[in-house]
Amino acid sequence: MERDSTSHASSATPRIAQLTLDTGAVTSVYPYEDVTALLENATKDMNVGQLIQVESFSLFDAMCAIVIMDPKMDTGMVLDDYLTRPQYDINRLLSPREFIWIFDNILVGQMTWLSGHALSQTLFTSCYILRLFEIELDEDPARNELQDQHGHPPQLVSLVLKPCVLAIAKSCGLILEEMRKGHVYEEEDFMTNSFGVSLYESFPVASLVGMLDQAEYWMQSAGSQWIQTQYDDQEATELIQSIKDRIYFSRSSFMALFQVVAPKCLHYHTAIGPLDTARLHLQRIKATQHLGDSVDGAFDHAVHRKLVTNTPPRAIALLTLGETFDQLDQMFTDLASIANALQFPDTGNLVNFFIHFGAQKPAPGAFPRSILQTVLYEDRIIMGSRPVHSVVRDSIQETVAPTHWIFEGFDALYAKMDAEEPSSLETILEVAEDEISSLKTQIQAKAVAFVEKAVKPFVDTLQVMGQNTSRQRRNLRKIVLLWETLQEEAEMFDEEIHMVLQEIQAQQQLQQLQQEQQRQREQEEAGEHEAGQVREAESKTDTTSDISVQPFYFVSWVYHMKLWVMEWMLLLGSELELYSDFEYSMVYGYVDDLMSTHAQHLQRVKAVSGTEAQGSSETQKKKKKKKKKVDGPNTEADEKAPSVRSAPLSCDTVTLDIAMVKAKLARALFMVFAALTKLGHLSTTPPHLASHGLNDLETLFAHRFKAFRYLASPRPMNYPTYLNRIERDGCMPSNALEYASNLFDDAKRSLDRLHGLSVRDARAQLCEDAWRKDIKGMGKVCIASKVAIHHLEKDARVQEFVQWTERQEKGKAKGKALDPPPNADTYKAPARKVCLEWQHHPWWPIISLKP
Amino acid sequence: MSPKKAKAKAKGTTAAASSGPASHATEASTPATTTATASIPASKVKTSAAKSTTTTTLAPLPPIEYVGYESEHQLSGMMSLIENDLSEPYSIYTYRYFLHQWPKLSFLAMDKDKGACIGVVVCRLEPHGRSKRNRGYIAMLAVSKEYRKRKIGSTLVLMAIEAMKTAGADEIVLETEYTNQSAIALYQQMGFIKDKRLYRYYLNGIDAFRLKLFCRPQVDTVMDMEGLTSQQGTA
Repeated sequence: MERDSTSHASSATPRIAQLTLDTGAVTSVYPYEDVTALLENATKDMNVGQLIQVESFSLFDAMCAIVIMDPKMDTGMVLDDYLTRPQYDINRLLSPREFIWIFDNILVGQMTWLSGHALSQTLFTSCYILRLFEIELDEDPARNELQDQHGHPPQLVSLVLKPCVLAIAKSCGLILEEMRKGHVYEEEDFMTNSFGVSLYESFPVASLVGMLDQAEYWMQSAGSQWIQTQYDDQEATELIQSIKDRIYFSRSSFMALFQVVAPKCLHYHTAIGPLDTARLHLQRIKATQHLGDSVDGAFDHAVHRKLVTNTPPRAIALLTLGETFDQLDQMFTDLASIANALQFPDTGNLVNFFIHFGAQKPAPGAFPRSILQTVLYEDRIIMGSRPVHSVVRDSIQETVAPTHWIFEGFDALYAKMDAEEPSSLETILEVAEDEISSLKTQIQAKAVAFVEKAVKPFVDTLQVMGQNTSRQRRNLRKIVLLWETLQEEAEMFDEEIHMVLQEIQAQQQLQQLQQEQQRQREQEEAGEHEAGQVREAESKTDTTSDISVQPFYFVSWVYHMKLWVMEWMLLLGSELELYSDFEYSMVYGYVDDLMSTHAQHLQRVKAVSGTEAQGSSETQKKKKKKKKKVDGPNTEADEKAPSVRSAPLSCDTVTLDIAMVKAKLARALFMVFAALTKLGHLSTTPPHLASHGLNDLETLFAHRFKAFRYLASPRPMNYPTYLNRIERDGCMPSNALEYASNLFDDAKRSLDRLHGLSVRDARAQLCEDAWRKDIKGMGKVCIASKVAIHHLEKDARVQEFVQWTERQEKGKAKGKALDPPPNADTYKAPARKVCLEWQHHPWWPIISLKP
Repeated sequence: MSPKKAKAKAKGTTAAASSGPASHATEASTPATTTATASIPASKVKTSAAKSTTTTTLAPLPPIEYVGYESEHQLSGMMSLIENDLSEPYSIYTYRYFLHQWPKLSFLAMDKDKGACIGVVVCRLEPHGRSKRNRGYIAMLAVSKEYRKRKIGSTLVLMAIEAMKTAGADEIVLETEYTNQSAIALYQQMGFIKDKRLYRYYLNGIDAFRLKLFCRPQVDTVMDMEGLTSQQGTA
């Protein structure tokens, strides 16, 4: 143990030297020459305002440039007061309270770094992190010259603080390694610059664990005894436990991270225990944070001057201790939730987990988001447990349930195609025993190829949920295009399936005809007329079930995914507060359009798969009966269908229910917006837009939805259509409000049903709390919206419109001429400000009018 | 001490030198300082860019004169004004980058009595993205604290907008802190919309909104899917 430390300490000498200010003469290998005077002379010939600029000198270059020896700009400039101050004595003996304060504040540095700031201004401000192996205390107090007047034992520093700090530093090293994979955005989410300073990555883990064991042993024996002699019982007990908790936390958090970042998720599942332990000790640390006593000079907030920084220091605010512990706790919770998702039961559960992970509030930190993306897809394995192609296959299966033979032998065929990397499918296809089987095999091979093409959009879509929400929305624009491209492939593939189905149908008819002729001959010979009739009926049923359905399996799945991404993108705009008040009717009009399209699409999918399932079920039953009666070859393989089929509630049912709820919410909101527009409380053409710049709302509309402009489907909504819809839907405001209220009622009932589902049925086994919270939140939106509509109905302008309607009806009965309806300019009551509140759900507002 | 080659903070600067999958080139720009115009209502002031001097007198306050940028003699006043509002200073090269390339797009508000620069707007105009639409950019805006609430900020912005429109801008963008409701309201009154949210855009970790103003109808050009495929990782 000591040898390890010593050897590392010796290797750390250059590191210390590097970080120590050297004000003496530096011998450079470069022939530096002061050219200030030369430049000043040269510029004497220039007039004021003249500039010599290289064409390639960009804004980036301009902002990179610093003014040398300007203390605000030149971070490398050594200031006098910095030079003259004493260096912190790293071998200073510490009291237990000082130990606690130093440890806790190193955690503050760590978490502030994790929240996106530079190491130079966070973790590296700790003298112990940077100069850890300068600790060289003699552990025998009797021989220790440094022993202070209070008799603080050196072991508290050398045996306890040192391994604890080392564990934190090495943990940060593991985090840094993960973050450098580039799953999150540099400088936006995280700063990976370590300024060339190591985080003791090469220090052996076994040695660290040994040091932590030694620390724990010392605290259980000599350390405790010493503290007990120095403090009263209660205080001593509290201090001993606090120090132990910090040792335990250091060990469990390091071990957890060590297992989390292991390649291919090999050890991630074993991280759950240490993560839970770390959280437990973190709570205890949080409860004892007040015990710490500050230590002057232990943190050097100007250390960036020693490090090679490239921009002026930025004013940052370190997290508070409370924030630090809360955010660390959240990080461990997020990492544990990912660990639990590694063995996801099915694709529906996996997708739900990603949706709710990405939608958490407060948002997960950059490190868990990066880990999520790493474990999602590594070496063609999803979550370290299942091949990506089987996950995508299951997603298709769960959503559209294609006819059973399409994915028969999928895994074997995939392995074969993967191994042989065929240039054409024919090379890997075995000669089938008959033409129908041959056609089916071709389709099966193409299904494998299609799934392979679907891997990128599928994985990219899930990966987006590991980004920050701003990036999510922007990246989804690209994801929509990926699905659009795949949809073209899917359409062609479905056409091929149709051709094969037709061919199969023709072949079956031919076979049946031949069989029938054969049977007739046999009947004539044997007189079995009655039995023949039964078989005839059975074969006709079989044929009908195959003929009647020609569904677009693959395009249906792609379209479903694309619609989902489109809705998500638009609604994220609400979450990010991107829309102006006058835009909400446009946005929710578009969302309404998408949601109703999506719900109808899923209804069709369900109807088709239901028909198929019924047909398939009947066919299977008959085949079983036949099999019992007749011994003979069965061309239809009886392979097991994917396990999801045995699930108690089909995935598409829940997906459809949720889509229908959202369709109702979007419709209801649009109706309210339409009514408020008709009443003149909202305007689709706010006057200020025409004043200075934009005066063309069609441009704005097109810009907002430009990501959808060139999609083949769904057909993009254009501005005139939107105007027509808002005019049509809002033409009778009170009716529109009543209709919206009924829709909220319907949605609430559906949400109640959904809330009553088991997590297994809801496919929310990995995110139950978040899923239920989401459903509950939408339910609250429905209730609050109904109340809000009740108040809207009492609005003076609504009453004015109702009175006008009644007048028209009476006048109509009497044959009088009709008055024009009131409009924004003619209402007697004043317009009121529309208020949108988002307290129950970030996507669904509650619309009201300010008094 | 040796000079350190700066790798500019990506916030508001191009990150072309960034590398690796995590790098993301943000649009070459600098954060606009919008504090100056907080809580100023929409203005209807019409100022011709060609006529670069307009005088507005708000008695009994000192008269303000709006002038176009003319020479480096004005630079030190502009810099000290902007630096008062920024925790991180821009180098003189950043100012020169804008002022020497687009001198006609920068305007100053002067206290006539003192002859001091009390407000400034600095802009850029250049083709952007694959569509090569002319994008104007309000890079810096500052008004001295003692002179706020006098529509100086909005007047400067309107002068800049007019100048950029005259110079052929198809659209104008700027960034502002997402929490700065009054600045956002001001720009929205001028017709800007919140186009994007930029995560932790500012050095203090606060998100920004990129606001955009369309200067001319462009239904067709908006539809060119500008940047969708070319803006990998861009704002």
